[in-house]
Amino acid sequence: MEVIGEQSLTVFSAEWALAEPDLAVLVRDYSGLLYRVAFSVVRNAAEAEDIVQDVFLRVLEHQPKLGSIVEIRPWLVRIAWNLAIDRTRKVRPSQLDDLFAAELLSREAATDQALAGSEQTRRVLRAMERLPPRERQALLLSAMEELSNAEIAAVMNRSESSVRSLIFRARTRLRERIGD
Amino acid sequence: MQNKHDKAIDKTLAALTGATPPEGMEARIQQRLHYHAAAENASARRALPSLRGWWYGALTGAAAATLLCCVVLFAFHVRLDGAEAQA
Repeated sequence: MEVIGEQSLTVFSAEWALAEPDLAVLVRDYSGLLYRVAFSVVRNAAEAEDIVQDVFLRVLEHQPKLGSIVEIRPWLVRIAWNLAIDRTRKVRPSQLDDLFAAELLSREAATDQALAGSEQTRRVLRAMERLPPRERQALLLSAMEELSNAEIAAVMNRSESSVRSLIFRARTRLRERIGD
Repeated sequence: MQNKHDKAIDKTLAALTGATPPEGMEARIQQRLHYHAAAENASARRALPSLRGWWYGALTGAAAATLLCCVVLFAFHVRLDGAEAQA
């Protein structure tokens, strides 16, 4: 009985030893980016962390297929984005706006200027929520320093020129709406 | 005015996309992955013996039934031969 226990432990360790380095490297390299992607959608630290964990659990489940994925970063970003969108369906966007704007305000001094800035942030957030989903995705991903337009195009299954045009249209729409 | 709006958009985008991950997030993820992998392996190991037991049972039963049929057929055949010889 003792021997069987030891054997299974050895088998388990060997499996984990094969699985761990790749995943550990992925977590180290991409968890920050995935957190920012998730946060940009859910605007809540705990939810964003949960999403990043879920992304890597999916990676663990798909580990045998990892070798066939050519562009790992866009693939991971797409998973994080989709999971984050799923979560926002359970919460009203206006709730997120208020929480996020309040959090931003708490980082700044509570002056009149800061309050006005917070109101403007709310307006931008509300306008962002009303953007067509593709435009919003392109705009938010374009603000991530780590992602190039080519990678955003890969995440969205679009061409680079289409992504550029989505970003341009999103910004134009936002300017119009917050200017009203 | 346009510049002012652009500033507001950029500020909001920067706040949305420049968030710093909470301290220890990476370690927590590694830990959860480790537990998840351990649980998966444990359930796979638990499933294997029961599956093996099922196969063993089915094969043993089938072999015993086949053997029994052979014995019955052989005995029946021997009795028929004996009866014919007596006739």
